[in-house]
Amino acid sequence: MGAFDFLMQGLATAAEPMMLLYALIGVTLGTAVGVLPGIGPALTVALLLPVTYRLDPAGSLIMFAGIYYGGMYGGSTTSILLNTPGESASIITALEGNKMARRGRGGPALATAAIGSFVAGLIATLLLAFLAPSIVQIALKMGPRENFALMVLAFVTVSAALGDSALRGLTSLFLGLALACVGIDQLTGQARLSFGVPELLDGIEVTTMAVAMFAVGEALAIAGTRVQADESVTAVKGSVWMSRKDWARSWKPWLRGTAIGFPIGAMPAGGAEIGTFLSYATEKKLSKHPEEFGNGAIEGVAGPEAANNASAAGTLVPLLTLGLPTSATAAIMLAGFQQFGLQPGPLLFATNPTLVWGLIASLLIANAMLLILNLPLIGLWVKLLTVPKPWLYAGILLFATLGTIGANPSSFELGMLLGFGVLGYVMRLFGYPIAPIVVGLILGPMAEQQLRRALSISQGDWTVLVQSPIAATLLALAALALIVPLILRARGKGQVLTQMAGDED
Amino acid sequence: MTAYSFIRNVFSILNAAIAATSAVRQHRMPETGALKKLGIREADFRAIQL
Repeated sequence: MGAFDFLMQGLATAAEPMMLLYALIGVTLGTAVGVLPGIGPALTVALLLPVTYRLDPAGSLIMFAGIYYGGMYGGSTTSILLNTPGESASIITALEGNKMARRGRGGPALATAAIGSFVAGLIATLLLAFLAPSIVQIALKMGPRENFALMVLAFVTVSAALGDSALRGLTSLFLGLALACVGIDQLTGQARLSFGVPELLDGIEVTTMAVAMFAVGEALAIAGTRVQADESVTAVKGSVWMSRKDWARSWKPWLRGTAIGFPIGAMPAGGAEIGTFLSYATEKKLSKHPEEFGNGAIEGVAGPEAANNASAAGTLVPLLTLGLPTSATAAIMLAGFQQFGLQPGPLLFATNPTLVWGLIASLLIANAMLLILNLPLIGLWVKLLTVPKPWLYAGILLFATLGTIGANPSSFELGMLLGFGVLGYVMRLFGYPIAPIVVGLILGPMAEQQLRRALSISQGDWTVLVQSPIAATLLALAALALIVPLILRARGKGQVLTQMAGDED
Repeated sequence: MTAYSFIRNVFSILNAAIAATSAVRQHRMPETGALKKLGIREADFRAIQL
């Protein structure tokens, strides 16, 4: 069967009433958290992890994907109407979108953001559906050493390639890898780093860690940030619909934004934000009205919003085909798969095609739901902003605690939740990235298993790791991802290339 | 513009986007050089309530 047939089968699964309900809950929650500044899809999926582990795996994963897509949609509303991005991938939307709203063109700004998100989501999901089988075919040919090299590449890019300090990123990663060693060694049965505590013999629960780091830590961090926000909403005047001229100026940026956002989302350490910045720069360079940029150019909303949503589908490519998370939300979604005993990757396409294709097809449905939910209900979403912030933070902490105790009823688990939550807050306070610690905890055991397998096959010969061309290339890329940013930072804090190109201009 | 300078320009914009992303993820203001390379006015960016 080809990708099209699988997609049709997936659509049949995703169109079941219960699956539609899960998708609707997901996109509604996602839009709500996207609207609320400070709360992103990573936090929401983390909060829901312990609550959903008794539910249907396909339904839960469809809901998580809906939250991810919804978060990307919802973030633009507050960017445009409040100049306060709901999540970091919508920051660029605020630049032109809020200017448009202030000039009485909030309606077309919201419309181009919503339709652009829909178009990008649709194209990117289809790209995901048609690319995934080819990547799976390649991935199936990879052995332990290639898989280990791939994980090393993921470790390095997530922790060292992006961020102010490679040292901080690697510290966070190695903390995660160390925590991954806690518990009984699967190969020898030896207890490791458990310090005689029986509860630690099972290892650190990934769900608890994810909830602690992304929900508790994040809630403490945003509650502790002094906000002097002027939260006056710019009223949407005139028609919400776009004029013929708006359509003519928007469709190319939507397509370009998709072309930029999708591959960037699929790149390790990519993330949606890079795509939005690149899309804005591209639109400004290509625009026939560059003078309008900074004063409310519709291309500056259309392109970045499309890039933002396309990157969400792009992120799912390495997650579903290789089991590699390239963003914080993807890392938590991976934990979501694992809590149901599922391991994303090439084998999942063979062993559980109904689930995988149902999930991919549900993205198409979620995308259509989001378009219907977002534009007509704009007033409702804006009203969410009137919820007092202390209630929100208290609600997050309460929900995180109840969810964790519900999933693992033990006071030790609760202690770990609070301990890691405080660790997450302290790490944010001192500029340590959170994603590497969670990625280390999730991928650490898998990388260890692959390394040990490769070394068992080669009878302890380490050179086997570089004898395969694919593994050697991946390890070389990992080395480059580590060294190049270090050189750039050393030679003027990453401004060398900027200056070089500036001279060229 | 030669192919070499085009590639260098692309990488410099990518570098600026990565630097700006890194800053906003840490809830900080991106550096002026990065914003300039991306075609963003510093004052406009500063007005956004991050």
